[in-house]
Amino acid sequence: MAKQEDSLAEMSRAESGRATEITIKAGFVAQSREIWRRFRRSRTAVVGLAIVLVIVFAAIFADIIAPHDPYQTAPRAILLSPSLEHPMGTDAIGRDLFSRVIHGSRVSLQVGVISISIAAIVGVPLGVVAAYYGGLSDSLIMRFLDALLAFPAILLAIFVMAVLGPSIRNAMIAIGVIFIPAFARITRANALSLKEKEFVESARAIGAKDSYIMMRTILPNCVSPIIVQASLGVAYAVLVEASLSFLGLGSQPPEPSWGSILGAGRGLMASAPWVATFPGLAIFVCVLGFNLVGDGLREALDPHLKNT
Amino acid sequence: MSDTYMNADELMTRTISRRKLLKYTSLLGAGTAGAWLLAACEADDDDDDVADDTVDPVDEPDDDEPEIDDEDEEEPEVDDEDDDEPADDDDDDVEVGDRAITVGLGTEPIELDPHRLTANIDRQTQRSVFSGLTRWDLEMEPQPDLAESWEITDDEELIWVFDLREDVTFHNGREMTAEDVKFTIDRIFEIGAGGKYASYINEVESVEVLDDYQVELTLAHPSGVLLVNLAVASVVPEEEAENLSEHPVGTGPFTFVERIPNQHLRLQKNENYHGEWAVDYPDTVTLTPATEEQTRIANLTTGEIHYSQTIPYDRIDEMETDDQIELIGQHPGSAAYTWLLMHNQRPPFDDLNARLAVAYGTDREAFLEAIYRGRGEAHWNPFPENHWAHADDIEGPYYDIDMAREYLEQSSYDGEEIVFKIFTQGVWGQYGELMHAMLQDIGFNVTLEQLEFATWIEQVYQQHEFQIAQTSLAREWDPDGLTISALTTGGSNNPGEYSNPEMDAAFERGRQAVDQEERAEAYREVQRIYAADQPHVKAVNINSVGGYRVDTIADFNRDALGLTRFESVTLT
Repeated sequence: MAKQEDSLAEMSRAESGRATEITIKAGFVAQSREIWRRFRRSRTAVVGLAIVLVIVFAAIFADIIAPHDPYQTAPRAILLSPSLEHPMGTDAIGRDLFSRVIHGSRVSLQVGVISISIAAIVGVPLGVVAAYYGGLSDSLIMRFLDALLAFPAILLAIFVMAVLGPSIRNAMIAIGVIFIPAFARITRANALSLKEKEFVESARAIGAKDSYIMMRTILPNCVSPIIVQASLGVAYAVLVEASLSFLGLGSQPPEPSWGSILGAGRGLMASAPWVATFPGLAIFVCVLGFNLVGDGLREALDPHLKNT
Repeated sequence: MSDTYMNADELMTRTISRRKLLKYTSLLGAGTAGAWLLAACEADDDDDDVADDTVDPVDEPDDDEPEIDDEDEEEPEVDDEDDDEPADDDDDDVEVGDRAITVGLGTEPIELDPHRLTANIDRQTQRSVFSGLTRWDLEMEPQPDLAESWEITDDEELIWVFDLREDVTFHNGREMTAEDVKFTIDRIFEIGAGGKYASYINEVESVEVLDDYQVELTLAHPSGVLLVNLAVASVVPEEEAENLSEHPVGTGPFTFVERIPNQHLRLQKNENYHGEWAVDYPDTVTLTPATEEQTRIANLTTGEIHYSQTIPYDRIDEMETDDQIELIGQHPGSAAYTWLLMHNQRPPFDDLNARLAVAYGTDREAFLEAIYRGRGEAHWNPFPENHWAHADDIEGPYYDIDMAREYLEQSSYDGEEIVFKIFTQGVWGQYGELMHAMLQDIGFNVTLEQLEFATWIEQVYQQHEFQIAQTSLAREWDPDGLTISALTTGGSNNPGEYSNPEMDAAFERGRQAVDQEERAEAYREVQRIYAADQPHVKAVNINSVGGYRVDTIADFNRDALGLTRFESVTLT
């Protein structure tokens, strides 16, 4: 008898789970259409998206786009000024700067995306757990993250790099670490209000497990601020990577990274300004692109701005 | 490194009295603007240091005593190049700042102990604070310094007696005597491979003090280089020996005032300096490490520094047109060269074929053109073409990539990863990347590792922890000295642990021969073995260029090591 009841309850739970899944999916499609419509309305956001797409395209097809091998030195063609053959000139040991900047987009995007993924994968669950359980676990997690946040981001990254040793992989980890608090806090703030909502209450009432509630009811509803945070975060991560590489802590030579090309060109500002200028412009445009997309997404995703 | 930093910090704090500390603390407590306070504080400290550390109030007239010359073959020579300096009378009431020059260095001095230093830059302070029995003139020939004369007293040319000057005091006020010379040479041998100079004078078997002003050196064999090499054996006082790394005390033209890491190292004129070749030189010399080349050049053009030890190669043309700045090369030439260090005892470069692959795969002309803008010499031979020991009839490696690949094919190397340790100051970052590209081109699988300069020195020169590394050898003009330490078994500049008894013997012959022709023959042998063994791969002889401001400095000098004798610098 009791067993039967049990299995009945389970069935209904599974059913309701499936039902929510379906509604979520249907809702998601409609919602994303709506978001796209609103995103499109903002011209700057579209420009930002175009920039990001161009950079992504450059990164994916760098081998095809780049006219020269970015590693090929030409000691007899050093510091040539921009020309048709070398649209951005050549660097101090004769490498084609245009090819290096194109290939540099790979490093920047890779670092931006992977480090933000690390931050999100660690930070978001921490935020949800902190909000959902509250009390001691909340205090422990959030105080620890506050401590991380107390350090200036670059300083913390340099510290992590000093411990791990300079390399692009370690740069990703370092940048990932410094972004964890941002994701955890934003998730926690949302989750705190969400956990009082009726649909969470109802999930709890039918006896759903904690993990189910967190993953299936709270998390999906936190997604929009996380997405906004991620796209703005990528911009900042690109900047931090460039700073680390500029200081010689990020990508190691001869790998082309905007930061390290800029760092090498810094000494040549007087005699060959193009070496520092073009990677600098690339960083600027890339960061601008991700920022515009981030702003556009924030407006598009914000329910309060729905009817404006 | 961290050691010296800490100690220098101590040096700083020591000079702040308790009263002042209290004063500043209370000021801080009162919430006075931080920046203003810091600025005031810093200025105060500087003044105090100068006052605290100025030693020897010994009466000056002693220096003016006429010299008692012995009947020897060589008389102390007075450089006449300084005689033409303007009659700029400086009375005693002239302020320190008036006759001060500030110098921009490419790297920071690391080790101040003259017997333990390794980096070339450290020899700048050594040169200014210390003196040896002999000194190098601007042609890099030995001249009398602390020893005013010397004599070989036996037929086998093994026993040398040096007569010391009687008017020399250390910066701490004590008189310098023969005991100090003995202590110094013993100390150099005691430090041994921990320093740079033991191999310079290793023919010295014993030192005997005859009387206060006479010292006898007994050699193991006759030597043609003893006088040249004694110039690096800086005489130090025993009572200060423990502390020389932080506070060097010698008998040189300048007393050490202070060193603040990353800021400056200050030297002050030694009023009791014995050298009559030094005339009316600057009262204060401040060495500032401005590792950022562009900053250093900007400081030179604005007059913030008066001399930049090096001018970046890509800025030389532009600097030539600036009539406020005079460029100055190395004199009489540069024997310094860049080379690729290879660890001769570890795979893959324990294999001669692997080394030859590198030797043939190194495009020396490319380095000369791309990095040094053609200033220097691209040749496998470490001795430059205008050097008396240069042999042009010896076949050595040249750039031939096919030959390089062939040698690599024959070697035991099979594609394992090789770590190439570099540092990135000045042009060295570019240099390393270019070398890296060449090594890859030959077929080596090389990863670059950028290190901070001090770490690099520690790993490569002290621990010998490397496979390949880039470096330069700022060697003297004479083929002995530093060159020996780079190429002979156990030499202090031989981190690659190259060892060939024939090479050792050839250098030994060069040292023992007194006749220059005979020496040249020995060094021809050295070049022959070098060409065949390629213990490291020499790329280019570099001839660096420095620049000084003509509105402050009237006469400047820069020797074959790119270093300056500040006691021969005259101001306008």
